[in-house]
Amino acid sequence: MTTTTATLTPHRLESPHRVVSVTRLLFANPFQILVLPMIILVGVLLTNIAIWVLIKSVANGTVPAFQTGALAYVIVYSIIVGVQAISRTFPFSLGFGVTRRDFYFGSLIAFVILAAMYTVVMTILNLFEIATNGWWLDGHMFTPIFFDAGTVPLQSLLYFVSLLVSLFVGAGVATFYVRWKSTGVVCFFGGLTVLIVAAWAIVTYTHNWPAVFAWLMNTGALEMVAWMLVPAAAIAVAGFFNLRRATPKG
Amino acid sequence: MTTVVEVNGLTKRYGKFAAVSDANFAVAENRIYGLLGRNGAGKTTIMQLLTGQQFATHGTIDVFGESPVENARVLSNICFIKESQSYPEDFKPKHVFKAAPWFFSNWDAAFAERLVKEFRLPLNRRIKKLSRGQLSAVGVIIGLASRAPLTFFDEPYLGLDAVARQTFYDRLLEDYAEHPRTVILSTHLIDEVSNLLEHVLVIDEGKIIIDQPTDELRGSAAVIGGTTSAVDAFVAGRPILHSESLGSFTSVTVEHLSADDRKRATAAGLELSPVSLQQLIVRKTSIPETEFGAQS
Repeated sequence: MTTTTATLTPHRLESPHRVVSVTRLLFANPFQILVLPMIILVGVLLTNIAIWVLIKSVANGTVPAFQTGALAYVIVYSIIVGVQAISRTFPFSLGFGVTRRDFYFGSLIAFVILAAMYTVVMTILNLFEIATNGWWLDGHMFTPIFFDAGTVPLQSLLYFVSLLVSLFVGAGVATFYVRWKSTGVVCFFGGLTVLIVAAWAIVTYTHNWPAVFAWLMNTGALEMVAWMLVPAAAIAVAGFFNLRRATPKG
Repeated sequence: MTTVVEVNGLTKRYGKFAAVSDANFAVAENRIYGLLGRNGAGKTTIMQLLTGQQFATHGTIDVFGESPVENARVLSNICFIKESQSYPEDFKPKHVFKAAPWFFSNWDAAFAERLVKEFRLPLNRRIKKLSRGQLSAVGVIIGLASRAPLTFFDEPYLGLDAVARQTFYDRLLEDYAEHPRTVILSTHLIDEVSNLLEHVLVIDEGKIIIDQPTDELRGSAAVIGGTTSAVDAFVAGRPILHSESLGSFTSVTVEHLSADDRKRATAAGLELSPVSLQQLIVRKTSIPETEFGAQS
């Protein structure tokens, strides 16, 4: 009996297509990844407006402008979106014959698109906030003074970079879970805590707290967030290597 | 014969435990293989190794002539349906079937739609709210409608009722006849699928112990029944796989009978009957029958 080995027919879908397929896969259920976060965003906005109306109605005389950091909810929620997208879609994608590499690149592309989409919605709301002079209440959620990049385009860039940092951090942390389950996550946060405490100790022992505060005071929100791209990129790169040897479990 | 999978000296260890040890086998193109064995025998591990989901400790795996690990060329020709498959958060079956054609170039949407009806699968219910059987149906539909050149079903029937299981076997055979492909199916329900399987691989404690065409395996043993004295006289000196007595009646499972043997047995007034595949595998591996029989 002669034995030959089956060869692959050349027309099959290959790598570049499959990266895009993964990106599409992450948007296959738009409610979870697009609609729900925007419902949260609008919900947070309406809650803040309600509070401002309430304060205005009970306060006598002039009230200072309202500033809220409520946007942080949405940005932090993006970490969860990143974690869920990676941890739940990874084992599923492997069953669909996707390589780890294609899965990760496809996911990161999806996160860039997602950050851009959220940014568009936030920019529209920001423009509306400016046009209405803070929702007719002098309330500032989309450009609060401590999260102000100066101009509308720079503000949009600030949203985009903040969201991207969150999504990439979420994706990176999720790979520790995918690779080593809860042990990986515990070790990751353990390591992170050690790093933060070490940095804290160094600043304390070198008596550099005044310099740190001065830097924080003088550095704009955009520049600060841009600096955060560095650790975010580091986590995302670590995520790639974590995933390369990860196996689906359970 | 065209080979789709070739495995040489394959070993997978988790710490000291060898889930697969020194496995050697080949899988021919366009056939249906049964990968059989007890719980924990290493069936799922072998499938995960062949699909690049796990990494081998030793040995080589060639799928379509190349290593499957991180190989998009190979993996895009594979569909792996796992009993414990997890789905993205809050996915509904409709999302799964919408995404499937992006990954499987042979995906047949009309076929998938027909299967959805036959399995009575609710498309619009969240996957985590599906019953065990409905969840299995999602996997079965992907496995069939994707028509991947190499399809793995790892115990795909959990929770499926008898009607749905029969639907699965019928559609698999029909579609396989029209669109030949290689299917590797792991199952406990050996007799249910025995007519489907063209080749059987039996794995026990990580070792491949049987690698034979189904017909050959079936012909490799027979059951001889009759009065205890007649049966005993006939089987004297033969290796006996199994023996059962009820009153003065005995039935014995023996290995391969020649045409001559069969004539002699009939002349001696003994009754010959074929062994069921499940019985045979249970006997040959001296696996307690209850281990297989208890599954549903």
